Amino acid sequence: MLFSSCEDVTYQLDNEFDPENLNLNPPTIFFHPSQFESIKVGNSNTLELYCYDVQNAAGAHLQIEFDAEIISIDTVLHGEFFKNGVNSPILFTDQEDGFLNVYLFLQPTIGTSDASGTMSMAKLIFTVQDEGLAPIRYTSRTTIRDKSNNSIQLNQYGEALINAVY
Amino acid sequence: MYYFSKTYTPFRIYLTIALLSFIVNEHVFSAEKIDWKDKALQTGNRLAVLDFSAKGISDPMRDILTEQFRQNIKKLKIYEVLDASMTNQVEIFYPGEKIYGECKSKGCILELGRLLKVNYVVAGTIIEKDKEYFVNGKMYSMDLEQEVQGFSIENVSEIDSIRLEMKKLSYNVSGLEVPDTISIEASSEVLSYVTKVKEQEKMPWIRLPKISKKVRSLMYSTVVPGAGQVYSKRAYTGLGFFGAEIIIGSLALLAHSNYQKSWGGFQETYKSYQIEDDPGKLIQLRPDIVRYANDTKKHNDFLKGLRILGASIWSINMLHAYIVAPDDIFVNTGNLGNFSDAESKSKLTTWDILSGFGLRGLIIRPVFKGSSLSSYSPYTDAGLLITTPIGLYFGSVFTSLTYEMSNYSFTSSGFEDQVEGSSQTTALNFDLTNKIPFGGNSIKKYAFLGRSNYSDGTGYLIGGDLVYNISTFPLSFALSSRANMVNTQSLGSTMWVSLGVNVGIKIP
Repeated sequence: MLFSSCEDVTYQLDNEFDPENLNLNPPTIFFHPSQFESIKVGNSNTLELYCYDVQNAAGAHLQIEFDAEIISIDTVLHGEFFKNGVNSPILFTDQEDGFLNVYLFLQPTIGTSDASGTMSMAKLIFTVQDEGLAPIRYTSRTTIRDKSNNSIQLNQYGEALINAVY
Repeated sequence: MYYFSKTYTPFRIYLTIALLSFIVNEHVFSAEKIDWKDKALQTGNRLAVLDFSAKGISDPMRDILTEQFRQNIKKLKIYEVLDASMTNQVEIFYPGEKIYGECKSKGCILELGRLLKVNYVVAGTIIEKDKEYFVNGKMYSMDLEQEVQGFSIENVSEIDSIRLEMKKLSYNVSGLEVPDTISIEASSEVLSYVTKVKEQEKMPWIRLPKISKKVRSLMYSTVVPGAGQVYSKRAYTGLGFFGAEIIIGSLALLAHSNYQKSWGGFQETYKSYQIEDDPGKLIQLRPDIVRYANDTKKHNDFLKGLRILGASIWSINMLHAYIVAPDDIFVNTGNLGNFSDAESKSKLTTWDILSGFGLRGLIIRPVFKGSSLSSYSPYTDAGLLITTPIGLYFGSVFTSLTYEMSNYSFTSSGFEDQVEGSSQTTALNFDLTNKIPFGGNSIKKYAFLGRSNYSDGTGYLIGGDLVYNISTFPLSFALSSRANMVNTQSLGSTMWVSLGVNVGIKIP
């Protein structure tokens, strides 16, 4: 053992889904994945709405703009972020003319009144209706608030792109 | 040409020596209280002729002259002379002798005589200078424990003449008159030596080459550290080397275990990172990977340091084994002033200035921590200690100035937090060897008290060292303890106690 050499570690933190590799400046929100290379018309997939290093959030209004001629949003599910450890968050949505509004509220408990970190806030299950490039982005009306209803500063809003094909 | 002190019988020699001793040193006489008549009756006549030391002549020639001298005395049948094989089967390294196998001091010769259980020992030196031969020798009585005869032959120009003179010498040593018709036989010993060499040359493939004791000692220490020293009758030094390698090996095992743990953690988390597609989990894995990688590197670096240290000590052990191993030939270190060419040293040299300074590498690990560090695990760290001869005696305690640099590092159980830094200590080193009898002078005992500067604070350092110095090499091994009492920004007021080992050299 004295004469044999132990291996030195070499590593690359280059996972494409690592928020550190997405050129984001936290705190921010983004889509995961940020790109769908080719989804056939008629197929469905899941897009997650992520927050990145957001601190002390108690609720959120996420307004998402999308091309309603190419994709339709079928279902919206809550993610892990606004769970208080026991209860799921309060979630309600509405969509109209290519805009989806997602409202999320953390249900406070004695021990938990807000959430922090990098996690999925909600999941969108969408179906491709027609071929074409469909960008999806957060609008400026998107906001995240703390338990005192103060808006939390977000440095960036991520974008996603869906390439729908036949 | 040839001088001999006296040609008396052993009994008359005793009488002469006793009288001389009385004149020169009354104390000797009173202490011995020898009953001369009884002593003479009790004294045996076993005599050993030690191999003569040689300078300027070949070893075979030295052996032949010694053996011829031995045989001549034997033929005269005054003494029961030990054969060369019996005489040479005992080798000792006597304190004060510079080279293993050399036995020139009175103490060593008497010790050898005791081991050989003889009554008399003859030892001497044969020197060739400018084609002239000189023989000096002494005969010691084991019963009297002192020299009873001295003899010398000077300025003999031919080898046959020296053989003749040494034959005469054997008569004198035996207390007999030298016959007028004395002559020397043909050089049968030389012939037999040559024949023996030729016989060996005939069948070189049958016999393994004779390995000298030095090479054998080197080989032993190459395989097992310290084994060569044990072979060379330096058991403590050998055990020191062996112990040092065991300690280093144990530390290496510990470090390797830590490395394996970190490496396992790294591989697991890195693999998870590579296949994970959840950004939330990826962002959590990232710092774990960095932490495991740093931890792995730290342990590996420590292992590399231990490897260098271990290899260095191993190399020193090999060199030391070669140096202290018994030599197959006796080497004359020149105790004869006539041939000494030592130059007098009147100037102060760089060596003189550096003498007394020492450097020690330190490996240390906290074993006890204060409350603010209770949730942290310690690492094994390295340090450096510079000892100086600058100091003062307080009674029998020499207090010297010392400088120590060492690292310290702790990590929380989950690797979330790390505390690391280095300390620099200027300290007083108290040599308590004379005050603490444990271990005698071979183990030096030091107490250590100093003021430390830590990476983000200050403190005090108290400690102690048990240092084992290798007598024939300026190398030392030590066990160290240190108590750090610190006041730093990151830790507040706290303390930790460390134990460690160090290996050092000291400029003699």
